[in-house]
Amino acid sequence: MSSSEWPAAEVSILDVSNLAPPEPLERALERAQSLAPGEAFVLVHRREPCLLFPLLEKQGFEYATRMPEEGRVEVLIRRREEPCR
Amino acid sequence: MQVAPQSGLSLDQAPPISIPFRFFLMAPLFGFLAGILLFPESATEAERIIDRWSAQTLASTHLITLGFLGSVMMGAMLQMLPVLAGSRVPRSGLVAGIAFATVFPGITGLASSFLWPVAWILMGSLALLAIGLTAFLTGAGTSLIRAKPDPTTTAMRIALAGLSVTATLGVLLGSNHALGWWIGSRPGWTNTHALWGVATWIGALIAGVSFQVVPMFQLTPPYPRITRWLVPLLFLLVLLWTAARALPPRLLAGLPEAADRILFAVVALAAGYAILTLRLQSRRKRRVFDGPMRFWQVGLVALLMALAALLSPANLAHREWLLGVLLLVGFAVSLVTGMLYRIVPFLVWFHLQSALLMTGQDIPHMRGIIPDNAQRLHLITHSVALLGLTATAFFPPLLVWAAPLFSLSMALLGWNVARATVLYRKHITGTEQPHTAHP
Repeated sequence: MSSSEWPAAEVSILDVSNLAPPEPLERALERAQSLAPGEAFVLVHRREPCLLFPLLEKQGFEYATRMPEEGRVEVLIRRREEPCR
Repeated sequence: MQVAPQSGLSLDQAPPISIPFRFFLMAPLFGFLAGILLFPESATEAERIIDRWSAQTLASTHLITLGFLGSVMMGAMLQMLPVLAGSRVPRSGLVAGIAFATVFPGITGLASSFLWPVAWILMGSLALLAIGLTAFLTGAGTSLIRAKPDPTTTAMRIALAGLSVTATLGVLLGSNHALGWWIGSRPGWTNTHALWGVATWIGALIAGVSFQVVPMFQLTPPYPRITRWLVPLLFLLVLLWTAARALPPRLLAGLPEAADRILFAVVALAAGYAILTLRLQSRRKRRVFDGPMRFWQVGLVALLMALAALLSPANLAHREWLLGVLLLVGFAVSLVTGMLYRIVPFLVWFHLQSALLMTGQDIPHMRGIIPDNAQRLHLITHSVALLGLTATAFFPPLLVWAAPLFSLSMALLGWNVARATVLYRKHITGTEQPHTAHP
């Protein structure tokens, strides 16, 4: 998934940048698990949530990150259309 | 910290939870033993025990440094290097296996050798420790070499170098003791061994980790950029200090005074770090009870007290005991305990997440894995024990109470870690049905 697929404003945003660990991880996973196939949301954090990525991969999500400015990381998380093999 | 998803932490590559946990469960046991060894049979015996060169103090010191601090370090680094440095430890299972199998008998043998000196047991223990530490240093070192350089990985590299030097000096001193050959002034070389251990191993490692952990977990402002020179400067100063003491005075006039001045610079650096960290923590956004942060505050205040004791011109009767207690039990044990209370819940949670994600089973919140009340109780016990051990320097009979309290505090830590382990196992085994279930 590339950042050229970055959607327009309709996708919901979950901002965890003011939460301390482990809440960003926990909230992000909760939100991700509520996604329908093909549905997406944008996670906003102050650093790259590298611990989230392997959990997302294993659970059948795709993601892309971008850093629009210093101290702000946006991660687009989408549940895959097909079920995970 | 930038970790590309493909190269950094992968669940298939992360070592199984048993690897760090075997170290985390053994560590408090050694701390507990260290306390027990200090129990005096009478108030008058206490005065003898708190002498720096007493068998009990030497044994306890190494049980705390190698047994407690060393074990937690090994467990934590083997598991967390992929996370903090973005670089895994190759063959981590093998490294952990060798380290565990050699270091624990080695530490036990070393400690007993102080109390009941038998040359071949001491030499055998030193050999085991050398093998185990080499295995660990090779694994962790390889991971760090491949890691992207940043203040934390640089500090870790220095810390491992510091550990190597400390351990080498330790083996030399130990074989001195066993075989009766002398490399020079034993107190002098012991001080060098101690400074490398406390400053370049423990201090560098704690500082390096704190650069990431303090802003990340406590939502404090980041450390100022100049702090990336802190650990390299510390390393340089300790090197210079060692050289100033090792070179013969006729080579360069005023070397002994130079060594003292360099030591003063080390003290100033350490004090600067402690004050900076305490200030950052006072500016944190989260105000709820945070066990690990409280342990850090206790540890940093203890460090400042130790530095004051080191520089104090007062004629302190038991200065070395005071320094040892404040630096090891106060600074090192407090901070490492704080880190343990972060790492253990995180690991349990993370491994449960990856194991149970498809099953729909409820995963406990990270905050509940080691409950706040349990951490609070340990914090209070530890702080009172620390006060007691510190006051022992001025009133030795207090050791009768302080030593058992320290053992109790270690037992509480062990209990908390064990409970987290049991919680993990209960959740994991709750799902063990797949291959026996009927289609």
